[in-house]
Amino acid sequence: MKYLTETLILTFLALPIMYLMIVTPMTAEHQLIFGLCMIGACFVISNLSSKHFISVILILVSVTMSTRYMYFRLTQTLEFNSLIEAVCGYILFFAECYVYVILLLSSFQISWALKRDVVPMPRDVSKWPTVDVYIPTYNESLSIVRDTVLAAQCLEYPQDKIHVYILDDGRRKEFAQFATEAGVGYITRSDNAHAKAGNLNHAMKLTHGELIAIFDCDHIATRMFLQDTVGALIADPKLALIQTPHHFYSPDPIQRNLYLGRDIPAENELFYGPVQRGNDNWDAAFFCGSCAVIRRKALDEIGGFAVETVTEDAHTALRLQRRGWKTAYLNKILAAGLATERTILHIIQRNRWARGMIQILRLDNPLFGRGLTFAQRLCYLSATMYFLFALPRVVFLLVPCMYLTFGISVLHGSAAILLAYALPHLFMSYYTSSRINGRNRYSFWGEIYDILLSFPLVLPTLFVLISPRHGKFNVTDKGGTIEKAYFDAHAVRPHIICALFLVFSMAFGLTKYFMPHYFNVQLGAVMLNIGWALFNLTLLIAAICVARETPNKRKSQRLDLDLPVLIYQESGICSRSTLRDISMTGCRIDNVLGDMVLNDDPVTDLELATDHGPVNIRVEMISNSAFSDYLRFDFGEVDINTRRELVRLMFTRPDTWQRKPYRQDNIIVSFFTILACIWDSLTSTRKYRSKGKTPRKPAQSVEDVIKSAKTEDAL
Amino acid sequence: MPVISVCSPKGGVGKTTLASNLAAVFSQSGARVIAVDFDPQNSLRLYFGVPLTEERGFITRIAENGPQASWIDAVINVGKNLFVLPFGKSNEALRKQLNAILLEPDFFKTFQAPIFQNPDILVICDFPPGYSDALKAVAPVTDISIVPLLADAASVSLFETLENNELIDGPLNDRLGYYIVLNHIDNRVRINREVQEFARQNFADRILGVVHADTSVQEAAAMQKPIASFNSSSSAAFDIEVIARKTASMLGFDVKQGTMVLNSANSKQGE
Repeated sequence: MKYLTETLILTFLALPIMYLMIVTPMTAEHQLIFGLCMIGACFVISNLSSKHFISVILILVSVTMSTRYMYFRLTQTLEFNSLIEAVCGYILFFAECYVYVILLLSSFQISWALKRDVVPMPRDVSKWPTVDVYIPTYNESLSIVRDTVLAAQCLEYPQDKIHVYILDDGRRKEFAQFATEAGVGYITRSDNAHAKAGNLNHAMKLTHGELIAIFDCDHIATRMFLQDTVGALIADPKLALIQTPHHFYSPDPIQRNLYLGRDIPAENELFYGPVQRGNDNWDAAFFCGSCAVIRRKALDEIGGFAVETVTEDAHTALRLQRRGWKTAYLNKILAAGLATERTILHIIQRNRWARGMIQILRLDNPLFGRGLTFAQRLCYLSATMYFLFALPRVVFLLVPCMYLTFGISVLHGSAAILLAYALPHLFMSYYTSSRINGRNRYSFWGEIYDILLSFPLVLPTLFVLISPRHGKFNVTDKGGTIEKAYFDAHAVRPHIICALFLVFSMAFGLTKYFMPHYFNVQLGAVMLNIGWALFNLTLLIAAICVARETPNKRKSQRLDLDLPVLIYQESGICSRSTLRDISMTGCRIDNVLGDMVLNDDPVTDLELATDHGPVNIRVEMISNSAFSDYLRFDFGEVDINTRRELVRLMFTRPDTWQRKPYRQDNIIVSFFTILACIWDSLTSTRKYRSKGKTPRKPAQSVEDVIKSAKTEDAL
Repeated sequence: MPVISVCSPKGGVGKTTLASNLAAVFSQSGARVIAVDFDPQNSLRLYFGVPLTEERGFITRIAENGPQASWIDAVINVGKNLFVLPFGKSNEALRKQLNAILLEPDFFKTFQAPIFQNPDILVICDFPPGYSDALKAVAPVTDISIVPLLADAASVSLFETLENNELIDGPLNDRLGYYIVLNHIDNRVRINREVQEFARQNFADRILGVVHADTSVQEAAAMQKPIASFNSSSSAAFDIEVIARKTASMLGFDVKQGTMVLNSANSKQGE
């Protein structure tokens, strides 16, 4: 933890100054100058260096400014003229307190993100532990589970030390049959008690691997998954689990419907980046249900996976940590799955996460109970408390309406002084988080994600908060398609009502603004509230746009892959070409046949030259123009071994999911990007990623073959 | 100067096709190539467009000018940098006479030096299947022996035959030894895949390459055209080119201009 001591000393020395910075009352004018000075100072030191230490200082200053704002709110703004104002005012104040606490916790969480490296496996293979690979499924179709299982079989690990099991809670015959054909284990049970956690616990009784790797049934692992993760578990016998990112190769609803092809970090990038790495620093990385390896011995100690909540993953990790086990997070994408297909499904999934995390908060509160370090308590508290965001978020959305429509003043004080205190606080927290998380989350997008979930989550989270023992596990549907664009008004009905209310309030507010004597209002306050409402409305509309489902027809993922390929024609002519892209159902290759593509000599087979040897597939040509640049083929019936090779080729290369880091966030650019996204969504224009057209070379030349022969003497 | 012999313990494995196509590839790259046919079938010339009625060959030179006659006059120019020396129309007596001549030590180093000891010429010899006196006689001047085999069950035992030097009761040459080319590979056929796997595991350093089954080769031969002009993307043509390039680099091959530049069969699609 670089700079921890320095930071502690600095903080200690700065305490008196910070105290003064927090409690000194100022007039609006002075406060504004003070705020601007602080912002200016932060600008200067932020641009001095990109060092982590500077980031830590920024966090300290930002937290101080926020604390000053909260102190001001507490001491100067809570004077109300009527009961209704007091009620509304205190609701807002408590919402702000919640956000403040989350800000403190997450600042702590992300201050020192751990950069964990892969621990190499011991050379002596006999020291490698045995691994059971669990693929739990309940109602997902075989077409999704199949490739996950085949990919698991491609994991590079001694064959006598790895066993792959399908844990089928759906008791489906075709799954059992498939397991036999593929040569993997099939485990099912007579009831579905405790859903996924129960399913895993049941399987644990029947298998005996020292380690358990868990993949959700759509999470296709790359072949080095185990060798990249197991090393850490061998090196540290007190380590109970190692988690890797959940990466999605299909766009989530927000990406598809709102990013519209723009290169913006996906919603999960923040969590599977700064947050989990930050947790890891305090030994508080938690299990996320999939793409992780867990030590059986540790699980046995806590009686298996936790069944009390609907988020068994985080709760299991919490339990392990209470028993003194360590956890790890390896920030390397080693598997990829399907994102939720539609907005409503996304909301349903998050509904479960929120309920589960609040259940943990209520039933096994990380602040209390034995076994955790203070830092771990804070990290788990942050993770669980985060999901209480729904109600505060709704409060913030609606507050400006209170004044504009009903004339209820929820804040005591002039617009000038409120702004003078609020703006530096808001700006500094945006600025700091943009600097630290700017490659994983762009400014204001977090608000949009939260707003999208806020209304639907208010009642479920409140219900669970009151009655935490009730809650049902629901499975997230995946792998569907959307044929035609449509607007899922049902999913965002409350958002639309809220947006209309905001528009009405703004109109009403404007009326008051132009007739101030008639309505007897403060102009500054009206303007402040209209500005606030406009900001809310912008983000709210962005969230509503997510419900405008754009088509997502392609059922199987298509990957660009340049690879030598042989084309067999019926006459026995065999030609060499280059594969350009491939999916599990077809491919596209360079047209090298020209006028040789005749209907009386059709192409019957392709042979892909993969690292793992040739793969032959029967094909049917779907475009046979002699003049087109590419030939397109549909794969015919693919047997299970060929399919496994296709999976190996497409999904299991170690670099399959590597991508360039996103560019650093810029607060202003980000805001205008959001406006552009809204505009494009409303006008239904889709921006396609413009892939730079590179000159197309054959995948393999004679020279390449000779070069590769020199290194490995391959056939 | 280099002499490449293409031979095999087994017939019908594509020796003549491989020899003629290697000759074509080398000549295109700028080497002066003579393809010599030691097979009494006398069919190599047909791959180069020599008319069926042309009956001359080195054996007819022996008949006309005696055992010590230089064969160079029987060489036919069949293209730029490309020559063929046919076996010629023969009878049993002539073939016996030839075998007697071949048994003379250093026959190729002395009497046929203009061909077999010529620094400007690359010689590619095609042989009849199995043992032949010619194969044994050429061995001392040979630099590399390329042995095409099919990837079938019968070939598995032939790997041993080669490894134990049983084909001519001695090594096929004194320089680089023999290299196997698995010919007519169709990976859709399981036995093909298995034999390749077997070869890769047991004889990896003796495998020069594989040539895919591709009727472009036969079609081109029937039309007496280079494969590339029949099918510019022929997989077999590509494979043969790879083999030619590997062979050249093993031989430390030096064409007049210095390095050998091959017309890539794929050059069209690269543009």
